[in-house]
Amino acid sequence: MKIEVIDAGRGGIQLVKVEGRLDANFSLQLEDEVDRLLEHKKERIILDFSDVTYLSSSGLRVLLSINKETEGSGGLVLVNPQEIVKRIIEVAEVDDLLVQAKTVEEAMALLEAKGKS
Amino acid sequence: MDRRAFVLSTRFFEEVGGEGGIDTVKPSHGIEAMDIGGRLRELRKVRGMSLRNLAKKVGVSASFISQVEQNKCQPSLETLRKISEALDVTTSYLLEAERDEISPSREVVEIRLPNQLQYLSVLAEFVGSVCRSQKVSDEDLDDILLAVDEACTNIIKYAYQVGSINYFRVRISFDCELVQVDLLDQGAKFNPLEMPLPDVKDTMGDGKERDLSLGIYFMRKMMDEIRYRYTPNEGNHLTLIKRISHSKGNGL
Repeated sequence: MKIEVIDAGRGGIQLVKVEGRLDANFSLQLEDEVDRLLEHKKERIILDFSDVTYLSSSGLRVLLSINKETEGSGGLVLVNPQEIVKRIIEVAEVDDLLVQAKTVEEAMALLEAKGKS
Repeated sequence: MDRRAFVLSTRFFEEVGGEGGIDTVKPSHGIEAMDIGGRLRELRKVRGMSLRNLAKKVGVSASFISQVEQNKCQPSLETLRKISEALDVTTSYLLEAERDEISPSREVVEIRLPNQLQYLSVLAEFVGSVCRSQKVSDEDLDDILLAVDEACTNIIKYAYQVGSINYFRVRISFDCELVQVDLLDQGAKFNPLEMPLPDVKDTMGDGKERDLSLGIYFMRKMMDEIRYRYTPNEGNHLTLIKRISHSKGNGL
């Protein structure tokens, strides 16, 4: 799995590109990386999931945990999750908790709109 | 694409070598056959259902169920059907003494892996290429992959003492209508079917219970039948069964 923090060019929003299998072996790595981003200041997080090929319960728990962590600061948006990942989120019946967007731009707009309201 | 993936993964297994690797094994015989009564009692315990509750669902008396469990009387087929329905298993599971034993005419593929999380991706490649070679549809395969990954994650994380290297086995067999995955480990006795189903929204944070329960929730959602048994000799034996619809595309 690969995790890359990309400069989103907008204050208060962190864009993280995740690649590969988000299983029990790698999910902790994602949690640590996002925790590091959230350590010093409140941030909103966009996770680009276009290249995530698998999500297990460990990965889902990390997503739910990031979602909770960022609740106060405007939240988390998942970008372009693959069908398999979407299905796992639906089976767990947490699709109402995890906000999803088709593109990074859409996710930015969602988060910025939320910030204003 | 599939072929390449298979070649890659085969080489990967060879490199893993040593204690890991694929074996085609002959199904073992001589597993002690359990009677209908014994299986019924075990299953009722696993489901946490009292004699009275089961009897009520089936529409017979509690003492009748008790007698069936002791093999003192034989239920009619209709009653047996109702019992299996109440316990959420197939009638054939209760009937067939040797259901766990894989028919000798079935091919069985087995992999033995160390209890290290990094092998989860090896496992996924293995299960994926074996199932695709049997033309299991992508949708069924996704379900199987998730259930097997969750079950093995639980073995790797919790069956053995942290830091000790141990091995577990994953055995896959097929017939025309189902894929059966058997997971065998010699670790701490653990019956996942006894775990209560979690509130998914409350599975964040630490704690073994929460960690285990979401994975087990997925296993149960994804598979059609799950069975567990423990024997001192064999250790934990978890059986995951998926009824399959065959894909029309080409396999390997």
